[in-house]
Amino acid sequence: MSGVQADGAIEHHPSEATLVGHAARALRPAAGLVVEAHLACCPDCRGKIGLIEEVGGLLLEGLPPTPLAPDALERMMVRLNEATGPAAPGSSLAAQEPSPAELPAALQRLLHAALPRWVAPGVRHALLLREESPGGTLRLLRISPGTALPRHDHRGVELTLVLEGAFADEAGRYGPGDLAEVDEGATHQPVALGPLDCVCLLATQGRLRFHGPIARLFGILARV
Amino acid sequence: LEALTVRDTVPGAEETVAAAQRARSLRNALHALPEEQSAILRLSYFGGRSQTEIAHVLGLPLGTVKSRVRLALMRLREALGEDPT
Repeated sequence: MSGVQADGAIEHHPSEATLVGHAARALRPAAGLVVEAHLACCPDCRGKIGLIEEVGGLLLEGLPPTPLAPDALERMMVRLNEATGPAAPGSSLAAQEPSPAELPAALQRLLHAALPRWVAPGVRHALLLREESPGGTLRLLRISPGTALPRHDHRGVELTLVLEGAFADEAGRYGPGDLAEVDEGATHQPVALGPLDCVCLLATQGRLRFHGPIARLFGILARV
Repeated sequence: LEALTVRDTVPGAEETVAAAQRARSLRNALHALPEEQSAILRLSYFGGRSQTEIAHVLGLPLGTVKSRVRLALMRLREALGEDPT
């Protein structure tokens, strides 16, 4: 699975607020990877990101300059003199945070290493990434046609990108390349449509709340 | 004739002028945004907060924060003569 093969026009996109968050590098890693994968197959959103980045540049111009303390130069020189040795500043950060150009490759590595396991009839699942704080995750789901996921709601925004197949929920039909953005507090019940398995990437923030005892069991099995 | 030749060989001159005009239109449109929209735009770009966190900080529903970002960008696209949707 090296990319998303959109079979037609992409109809469902991230909100503009999410695109701004992506451009501002304010999204959590899981959400950032899902948006990055959507951008790779959506020229419309790449166009929107262009304007959003221009706006960011202009807003930055408009910020008042930060006033400097009278001894700022002296303190900076002291810090520069201290900053020596093998643990150069920035080296560990660079190893942890791939640059935007590398993100699809980072996602491919995660997908390649994933070992989906059954968590419920018709549902296979692999945890790709667990954020330390505030507990967001990136998951790969493979759902057999006709299978409905338990009805659930969210404590944060949930982003789902369809990689193969299709699913439908109360808001419409989602095919390859489509991104479903479900807000905090909203409830939905996705159902995989045939004939192929629906494979999707799911970025969640916080824990999902499942409705009903069987659904809660699913939550325990999938550890979501 | 010489002046014409010179002007034709300056690479990207027209693009530079167009980019400057575009930046000016965008800057004017940014200044003309209602304060409630531009404040949320600034919070969205700077400070590394998620939309959910911005909604909590401002005591607004998440949907309101998102729709203000959308309306602000619609106005900016409109000011550039682009399809606002």
